[in-house]
Amino acid sequence: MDIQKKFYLCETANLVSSKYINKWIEELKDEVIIFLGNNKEIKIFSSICPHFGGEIIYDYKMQVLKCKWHDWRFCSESAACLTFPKISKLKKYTYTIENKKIYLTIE
Amino acid sequence: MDHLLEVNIIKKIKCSKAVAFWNYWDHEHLDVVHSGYKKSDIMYDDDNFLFRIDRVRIPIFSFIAIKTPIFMVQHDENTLFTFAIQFGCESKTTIKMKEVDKNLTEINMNYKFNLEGWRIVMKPFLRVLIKKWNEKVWLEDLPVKLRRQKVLEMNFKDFNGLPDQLSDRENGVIKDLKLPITRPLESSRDRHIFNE
Repeated sequence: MDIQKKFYLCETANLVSSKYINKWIEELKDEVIIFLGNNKEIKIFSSICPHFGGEIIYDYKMQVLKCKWHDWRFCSESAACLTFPKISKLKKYTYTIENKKIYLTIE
Repeated sequence: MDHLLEVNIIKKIKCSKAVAFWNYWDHEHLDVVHSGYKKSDIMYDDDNFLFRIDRVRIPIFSFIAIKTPIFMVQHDENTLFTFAIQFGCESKTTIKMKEVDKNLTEINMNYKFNLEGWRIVMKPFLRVLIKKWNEKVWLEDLPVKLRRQKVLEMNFKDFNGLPDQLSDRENGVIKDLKLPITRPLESSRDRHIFNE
């Protein structure tokens, strides 16, 4: 039987006011970014840049993800690296919403 | 010597010596992480030296940007020298690192400016400016170094990211720094008139 694990991230209202949230998930040994994408759909990706490990943030005006260390850009829909396309995508996570709370889910 | 201005600052940081030196040799972060840098062009670099031209904003008078040629050399495994010309004065910065343990490094930053002729009047002003510049840059770099240490301890591989397996994301051994730090072919540091 598959066991689904879920990790609390934030309330949906937090996401609207903050534009994006970065959160370290110890159990996954990864840091994730949660934001509302182009179609107001919730997106969750790893926020550790594959270049040197910098923090990925979301520029909601330009609707693009970018690294705080070297300004590498990533597509906010596909998580593909726009600056150097040969670089691997940011890992994508799934989620569920329960009582206006967003949980990252792992199957 | 009256015309020599010397400022010495010692700090400790919770990261390895390799990470602390990496921060000095990672030139691509300069104009992204530091508000004091407008542009930074690498003219030439090799396995222990570099020649770079920076455009930096002066602390306090941040509307003024000056062009600064910089020569950096990794003199030995613990010592980095930087020679520059700023405000028309030659300067030498010596960075000495002592690894207290694998997760703690003491950094001794020594700044020397040669203030010849009328430039001697800048001595008190420059003394304040150097301390302000050092503190500003230190605070901007601090989270970078701490995070870099953390990801390397999780076996992060440059240009690849974290290992796929969760069980591999621990006990990372931080290797000695190898220069020059790899830059992509189209790096912004190499986009200048002499590379066209």
